[in-house]
Amino acid sequence: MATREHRRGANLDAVADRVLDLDSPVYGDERERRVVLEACSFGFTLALYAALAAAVLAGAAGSVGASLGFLLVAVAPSAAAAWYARRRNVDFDLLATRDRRAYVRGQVVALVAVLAWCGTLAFLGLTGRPLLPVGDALAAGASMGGALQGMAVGGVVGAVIGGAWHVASTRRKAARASRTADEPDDDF
Amino acid sequence: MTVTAVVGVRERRREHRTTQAELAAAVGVSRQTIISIERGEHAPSVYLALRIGRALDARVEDLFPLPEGEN
Repeated sequence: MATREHRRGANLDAVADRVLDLDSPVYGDERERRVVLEACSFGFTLALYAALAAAVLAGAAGSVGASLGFLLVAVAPSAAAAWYARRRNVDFDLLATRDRRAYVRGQVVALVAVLAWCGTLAFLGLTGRPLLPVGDALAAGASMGGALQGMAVGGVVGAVIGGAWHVASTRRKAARASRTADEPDDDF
Repeated sequence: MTVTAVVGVRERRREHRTTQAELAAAVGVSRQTIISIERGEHAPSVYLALRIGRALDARVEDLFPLPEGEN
């Protein structure tokens, strides 16, 4: 169930509620909902660190635009999550300080990532060349027209096949759902 | 949630001769959730605990007793 502590009439809150749709049956019962939200939090945390790493690597490769994009991917969801919690009178920063060691560790990781990113851009600016000289290996141009078309066709075919398999697999799982559990049931 | 919940809910359910599937259907959750509650892996909300108590003709305090020394 979505929390309703936010001030009524706030349009952004309404948008957030609509995006989440926490009252939807797709979240399952209360235990399943808790597991789904924990799983999403786990994925979000991994994505955050992956985006920071990707921003540093892209900066090192001289791709400033991509590194900025990855940094945005890292920062925007974190800011959105903190905003969502703050609207419901939960402050991430205050909660984080309750575990001093974890708080410091998180701050150090973020600082190292930002300094590394800045360092790659500074190197590019000062020397005129990227820290990691990957050259044109990652750049797509007109000379790669045939390969890109092949990738596009392959992507469409793979998406159709993968999507059909996923739908069929989900239907089989749904048919087994009532019988699937960690232990057998009693039989009276 | 402690092991005490296993004894409370599972024992009462068996005394009531109710299967996990029947209890799950009665209170509106999955059978796996009932298993998790009986194992003490999931602490049900107040409302779910009340529904379980009603389905098993038992008091919530008897199904989910607090461990000794905890208040």
